[in-house]
Amino acid sequence: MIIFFEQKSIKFRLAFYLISLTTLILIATYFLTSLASRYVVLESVEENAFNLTNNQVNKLEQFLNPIERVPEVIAKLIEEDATTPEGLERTVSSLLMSYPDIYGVCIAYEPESDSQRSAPYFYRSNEFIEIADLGSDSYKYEFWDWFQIPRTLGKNIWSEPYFDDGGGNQNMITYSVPFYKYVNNKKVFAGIVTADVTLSVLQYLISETKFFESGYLFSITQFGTFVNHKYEELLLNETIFTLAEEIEMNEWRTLGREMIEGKTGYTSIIDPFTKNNAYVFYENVPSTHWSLAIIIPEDELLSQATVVSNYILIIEIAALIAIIVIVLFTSSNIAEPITKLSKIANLFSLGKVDEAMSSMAELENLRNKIGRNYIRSGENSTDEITTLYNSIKNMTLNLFNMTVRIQTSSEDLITTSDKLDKSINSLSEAVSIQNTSTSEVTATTKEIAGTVDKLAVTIKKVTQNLAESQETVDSGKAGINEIIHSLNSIADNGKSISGQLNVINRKANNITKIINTITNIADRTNLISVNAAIEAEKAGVYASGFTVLAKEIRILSESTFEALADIEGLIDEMKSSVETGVEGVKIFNEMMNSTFANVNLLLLNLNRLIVYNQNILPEFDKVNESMQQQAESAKQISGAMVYLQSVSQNTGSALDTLIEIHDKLTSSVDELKNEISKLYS
Amino acid sequence: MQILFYFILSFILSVSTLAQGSNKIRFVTHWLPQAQFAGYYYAFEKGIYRKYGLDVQITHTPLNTTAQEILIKGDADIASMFFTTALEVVAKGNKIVNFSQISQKSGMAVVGRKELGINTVKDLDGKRTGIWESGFREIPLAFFEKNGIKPELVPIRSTVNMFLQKAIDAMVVMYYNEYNTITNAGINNSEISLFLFSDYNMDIIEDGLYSTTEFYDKNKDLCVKFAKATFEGYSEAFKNQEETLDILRNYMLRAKVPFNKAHQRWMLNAISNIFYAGQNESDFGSMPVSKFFYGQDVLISAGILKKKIELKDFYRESR
Repeated sequence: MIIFFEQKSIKFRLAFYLISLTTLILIATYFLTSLASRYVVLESVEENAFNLTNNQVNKLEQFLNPIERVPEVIAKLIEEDATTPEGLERTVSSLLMSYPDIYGVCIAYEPESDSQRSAPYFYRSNEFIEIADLGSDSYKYEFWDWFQIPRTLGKNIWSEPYFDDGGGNQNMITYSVPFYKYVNNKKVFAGIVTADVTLSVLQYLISETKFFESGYLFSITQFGTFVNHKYEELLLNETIFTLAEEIEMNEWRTLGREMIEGKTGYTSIIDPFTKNNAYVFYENVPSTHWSLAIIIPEDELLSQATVVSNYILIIEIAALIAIIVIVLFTSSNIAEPITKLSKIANLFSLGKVDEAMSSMAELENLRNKIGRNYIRSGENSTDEITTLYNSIKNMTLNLFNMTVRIQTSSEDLITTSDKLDKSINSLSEAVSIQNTSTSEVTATTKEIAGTVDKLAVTIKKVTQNLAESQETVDSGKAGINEIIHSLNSIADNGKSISGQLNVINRKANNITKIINTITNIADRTNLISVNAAIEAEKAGVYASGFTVLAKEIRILSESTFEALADIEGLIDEMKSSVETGVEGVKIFNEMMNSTFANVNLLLLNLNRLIVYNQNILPEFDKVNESMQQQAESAKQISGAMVYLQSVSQNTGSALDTLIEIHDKLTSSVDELKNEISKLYS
Repeated sequence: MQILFYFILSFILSVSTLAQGSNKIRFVTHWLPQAQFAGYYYAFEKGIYRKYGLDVQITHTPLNTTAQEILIKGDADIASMFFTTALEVVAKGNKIVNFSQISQKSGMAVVGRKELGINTVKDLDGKRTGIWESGFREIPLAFFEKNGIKPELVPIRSTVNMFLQKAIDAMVVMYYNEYNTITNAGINNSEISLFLFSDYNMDIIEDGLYSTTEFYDKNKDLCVKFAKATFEGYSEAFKNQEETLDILRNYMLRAKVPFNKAHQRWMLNAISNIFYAGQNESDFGSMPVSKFFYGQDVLISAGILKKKIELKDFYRESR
């Protein structure tokens, strides 16, 4: 609800509050005046209504009172023993003739015994008065209400209505007057004089009047039985209390109690037959103790009040319409400039400076046109709308100036942004290159560090080897001398070998000569053996031993030949070997000589090397040391490179941020551009 | 089918009754038309008597006579009567029999004005108490006797006006009738004390169907049928209250008796409780033997009845 109102315009709220408040006041006024008029009307109507009931009651009383006089007079006559029985009969008859409303009169004497009853009943039969005796044994009048109640109560009394199926065959009410006699100066009950009235006369008497449009009268006896009512089926059948039970409206029982208690008053109640609100005005009928009531529908009763209320309503509606018009007009005067100013402010808020400026200009024109009633002039005016107008006007100017400044700044910003853009691009490139390089350097450094490590190890080994070789050279030097010495002796030995080989060669030649001689011998032996064999053949069997001998000799000679051939071969071989050996020794000697020379040269170099070596060793240590330092440095470099790489990465991310910033800046600049473009759209 | 059956049945019955002589019954109620007798009116109006082959004529006892007088005089064949009244009638040597005991419980009570200090039974002592002048006196007298109180008895005819007019302080009433009439005259229940006889060990049965012994012996079949039809009438009347009240209205207006719907509805409900009194519908009309003797004891000890009456001389089982 609050939100609903907060969302509404001032004009609406102003009108709403004013109109609703006024409406509330008018409604309250209406109800109060309606109530007041109802009260006033009710008061006057109450009096009127009571006049009506009173009239009816009086009618009844005026009707009943003379009737009451008749039995009273008769009772008096009897009590005072003022007449003879015949005289009494005549008097009663003539009274009955004079009072046509009385149906019958009974003089019922107190029975002296169960069989001594006397109750002459004078009643109207056509134009004459007839007399009947009610004193039969079966009727036993002394137990009937009309006799027994006044007798017991000792007072005159109207009976409840009853149906008389003896005489009149109609509904009656009876007025009973007890009479007494004096026995020994003591008042003793002597009987009852009654006057019967047909109920229909009474009913007719008070039913003829009309009350308002549809108001009606009803009457009840002292025990609530309906005597008059527009619904005839209620008459004598229902009491107001059984009606209350049937219609299930307890307020009717309450009303009934008020009525039978003889009270006079009025109450608002629902008419059970029309279901409408109604007023009941009730009044006691003194003689019969009946209660008479007039029930009038509320709307009829208060019709005057309703007319007044209707006039008030019309006036109030007219007033309300006038107020609505005034409020709307005034609130328009107030609200319209505010609405326009708020529209201008709204245009500003949307950035539509041009439109806002033109609207402002229009408003100014309007103001100039309409004049002071619209927006009061004057810088020092206390009028809120004027103040607002001035403020917005100033704001318009200031805002315009500001936009111009913003535009300039924005342009600068755009240039800066572009520059920044470029710088970032190059920086970005550099960073990327740096990144790559750093990666490479790191890798290389790592390799260098590895290589240096390896080199250091190698140098260490070399140094060791050098040291070892120093020793070797040192021991080698002595060795070399020995070698030289050995070589020399080898050369010498070579020479003697050569000489001895020559001797062998010559002796081998001598052997070859001997072999030749032997070969000759063997040949001759062989020949002899062959001859010996031929001779032996001839000698025959006697020579068989000789043949065998010849054969053996031949085999021997052949073996000798063979042996000789072998020896010859051997010697040849030996000779060639010796020759080869000689040749070899020669070559060996030559080689030895050159070797010697080379060894000497080598030794010389070696010596030089050793000297150099001795100088170079400490240098190697230094190199080694430097190498280690270098390896260390390389590691450091590598570490530094890793760090550099991370820094580079950071730089990269910083660059990213920078790019982001730049992007934002760019978009801001774009927006700014946009806004500025809007401002001047 | 049912209709056909009834048709045939009624045909047979009418033939048989014709053979016997007559199927006419002159029935008299012992009081003016009111819901107490609703069963008879209902059975008559809805053709239940006809269904049983009976040609019933219903009259009510005028105020100046009694049902027993009418019955004995032979002006009616069957009468409804009060149990103790019937006992007295029989005790006087009249030949009448009960052939159906309708009421199984006492509906009698005494009401007294609280404003006069009547709050307990004992408070009735010396108070002007209305008692019906004609009939039904035995039980109230026995009631006062039994409770050791001596109210000043005022004989009254029939209305409650004496009580309403404050001419008497208390009066004997029928719970189902006068008690409610008093309430309907604007006296609130809270303003009067009610002493139900059944609450004071005086539960005496009331309405029953009677005929002269002679009539019963000659027309037992008719009497049985009448009892059965009557119970059917009551049973239906209790079930169809509005219809019953409409029938009652006609009877009462015809008899020039004020018809008060609220009052008659009250009475119909009240007698329903008295007639059934917790028994089965099949036991309807049976004579509760203990109550039969108890009622006599009350009357004998009150000096109203001189000697006991045998059940067989009083009651004929007719179910």
